[in-house]
Amino acid sequence: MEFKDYYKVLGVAADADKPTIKNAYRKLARKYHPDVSSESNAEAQFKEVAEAYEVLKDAQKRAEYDELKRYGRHGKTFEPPPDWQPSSGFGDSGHTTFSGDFSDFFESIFGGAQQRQQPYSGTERGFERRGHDIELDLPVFLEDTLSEESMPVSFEVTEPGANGQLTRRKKHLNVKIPAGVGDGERIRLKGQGAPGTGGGPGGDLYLRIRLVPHPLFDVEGHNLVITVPLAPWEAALGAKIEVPTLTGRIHLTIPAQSQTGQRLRVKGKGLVGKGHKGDLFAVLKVMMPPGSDDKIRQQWQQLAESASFDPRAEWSKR
Amino acid sequence: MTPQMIEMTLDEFIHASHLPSDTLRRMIEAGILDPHADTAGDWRFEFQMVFTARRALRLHRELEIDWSGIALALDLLDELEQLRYENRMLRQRLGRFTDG
Repeated sequence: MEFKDYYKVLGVAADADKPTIKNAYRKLARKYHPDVSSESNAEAQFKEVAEAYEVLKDAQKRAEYDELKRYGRHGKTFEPPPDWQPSSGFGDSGHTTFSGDFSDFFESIFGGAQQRQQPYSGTERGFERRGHDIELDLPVFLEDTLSEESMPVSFEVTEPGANGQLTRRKKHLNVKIPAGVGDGERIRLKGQGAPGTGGGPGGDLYLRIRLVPHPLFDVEGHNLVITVPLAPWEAALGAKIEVPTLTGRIHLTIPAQSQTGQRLRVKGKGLVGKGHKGDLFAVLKVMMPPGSDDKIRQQWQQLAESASFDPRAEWSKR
Repeated sequence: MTPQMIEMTLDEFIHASHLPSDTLRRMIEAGILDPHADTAGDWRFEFQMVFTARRALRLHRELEIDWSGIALALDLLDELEQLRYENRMLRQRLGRFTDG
């Protein structure tokens, strides 16, 4: 086990006073707290910081840590002294700031998680205990949101086996995705989380919907957007083209004199909304043909000579 | 298996969120949670509020922010998330326009 230098983690001197430590923690916590940070390794960083603060904010724990620091400095790896007794357990404050797990290093000094209070699990009565809630991301294809069929979901739960040991078990469910559910929304399956112990109820399962990006369609609320490439002459003369939708191809009439960026609405071909169906918007994108032969170039030349179109007319006004 | 989209009663909410009642009261006072009253005058909570409450609790304990500060932080974080999402979508659509 590696010895953790909590002072270094917080960036304070070994003789820093309480306000300095608090200040250093607050600054780092704001930077790395997973709820507010966009740093890539925020969660791991915050854990380190929270653990360091947990020890250094508490006079008793800090004294114990300092003692071990003197002892543990000699070698590269750290083992607590054989006669080491975590004396304080949970120190003078009585509760921990941080709600996650501490490192092995921390637990070897201050005792394991079982000694810690679980501050907000109010439903324990004797050994009867409600199972933990489980939160999972559920990737959903756009096509699946239209389907009436249930989606298979599997996940692992820990539950006490016959001998009282915790065992892991795979759980499989078929879940009906409610119509109109959007990206990032959660759905709740009551009692389908981790099983309770001692006859306690199971926790809940929360599935967070993640719409998988589609190669063709973009999502805008309950509407879909597809970019439709057009040849210049299709835009100029109008055309009847085939356009894919989530439920198959449809015919779409492109009016003459269409422009890049113009949106055509195909009613009812979007996602299922709450109570109504969204639409599909076809956004037109006029594309130049790649390289052209002499004959084609001649025709462009003719067009250039006969058409009186100045796309930059706006500029010459000023 | 059909998920529950229905709202939670006060008891169900306390059960699911593990919030002590004085913390719950503070969160409601600060506007972090805004349950509405049903026709009988009982509180109803959208279940997504369980996650708001958990997040608020983490911010309160781990960043030592007071409840009104948390209300503000959560609003801003939601807005940030919304803007990031929009930005991602717009970039994606712009990409479809400029590529190829």
